[in-house]
Amino acid sequence: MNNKESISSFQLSMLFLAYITGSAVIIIPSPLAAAAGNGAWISELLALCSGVIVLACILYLYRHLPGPTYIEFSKQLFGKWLGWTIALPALLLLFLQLSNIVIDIGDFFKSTMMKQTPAPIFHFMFIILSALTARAGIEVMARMFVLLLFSMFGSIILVWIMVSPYYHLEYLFPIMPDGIGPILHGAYIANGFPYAEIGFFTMLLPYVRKKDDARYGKSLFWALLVNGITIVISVISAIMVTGPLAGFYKYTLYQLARLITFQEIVERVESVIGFSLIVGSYMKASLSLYILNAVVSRLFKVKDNRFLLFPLSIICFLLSNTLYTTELEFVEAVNVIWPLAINCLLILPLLVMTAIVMIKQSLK
Amino acid sequence: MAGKIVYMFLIYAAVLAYDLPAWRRASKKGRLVYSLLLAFSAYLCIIYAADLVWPNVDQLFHLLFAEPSKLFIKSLKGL
Repeated sequence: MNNKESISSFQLSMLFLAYITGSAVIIIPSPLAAAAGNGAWISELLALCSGVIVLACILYLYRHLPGPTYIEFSKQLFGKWLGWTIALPALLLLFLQLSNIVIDIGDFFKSTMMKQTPAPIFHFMFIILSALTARAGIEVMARMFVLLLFSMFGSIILVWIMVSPYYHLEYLFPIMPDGIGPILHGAYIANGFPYAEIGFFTMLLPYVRKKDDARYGKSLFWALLVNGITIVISVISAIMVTGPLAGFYKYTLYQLARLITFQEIVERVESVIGFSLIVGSYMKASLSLYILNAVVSRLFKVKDNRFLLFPLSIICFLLSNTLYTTELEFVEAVNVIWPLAINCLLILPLLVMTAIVMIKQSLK
Repeated sequence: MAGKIVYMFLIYAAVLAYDLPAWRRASKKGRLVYSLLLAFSAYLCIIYAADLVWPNVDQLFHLLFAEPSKLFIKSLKGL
């Protein structure tokens, strides 16, 4: 994790795809379907539009301000102290984001495959794996995650194809039986997770090679489009297979994988597919930890970027074990509180910063 | 509780042993930030080991955003 590390625009877009698709593809279809019913895919498309706006903002800021990251943007535009006031809530959000991913992984293993094992064991193993990956640096992550992304997307596409005998097109209708309200509720959930989290990705933009500077914007938008299409198809598959029950099953793709049978030879493949899906959460957790470490190091101007990684990992591990006492609290925190919190504390300052820079540019 | 204390002791011992050479090389500011992070983790460790209901990060967010977000969702659903 040294300061001279650099990646290509293609690698950046792969990291971006891993960051936004990682845990979302396995988690988000269920709360979306619970909130918006058959119109969950419309909610996803609306949320995707909000993601496009956030990505456009960070790219615009990065092109017009000499400061390379969210921390520098805020300090340059608002001064040192107001910049700190903006950066500190973002730091807390990052802690929460990473802890929530770790909690989700523990919950996934406990509710599907390894029901007798205590959740802190999963939390620890997962966070230590993420810490070691983040410590290896962004170049290693960029090279490794491309392969893992192929494995993850391969599994997802396999699930879509193999469960096709169970598709019922009629389950998709009616699309909006209760009007636009539930659709907007679904969009609110998907906006908070994963699209508002794109705001944190500014921390990785400075690692792109200078010669690739002109190209990465386009490749990031392509990655966002791939993410949107993947989640939309996953949501539609879930609705076409489970119908009105789509919102009741957690980890929808995993539940769909349980249905796969082929000539009575290929059965019970859900564990293999489950691990491929969990790889997505691992990639997102590693990138989140890397970003968290970069934010803390830049905020306090610590020169050795690797030095703070393990204390931050311990904090996230302990947060994952102490934050919520019941699953209901966790669900409320992620689906109700998180979208508003991240929009107020991260996206609103980002929009204000973009507006200020746009006004300054127009006055020049 | 004893199991959690042993578990955390092992984690801290491993991390501190690994970071000791880097600690020696680190600047004063780096050591200060490292110590602050460890102090925060120690607070969380006490909560975890003793199963205490002490103030935590999520409660801050709950206090600030729970009611407004519920009202917002209610208004969305009413559309």
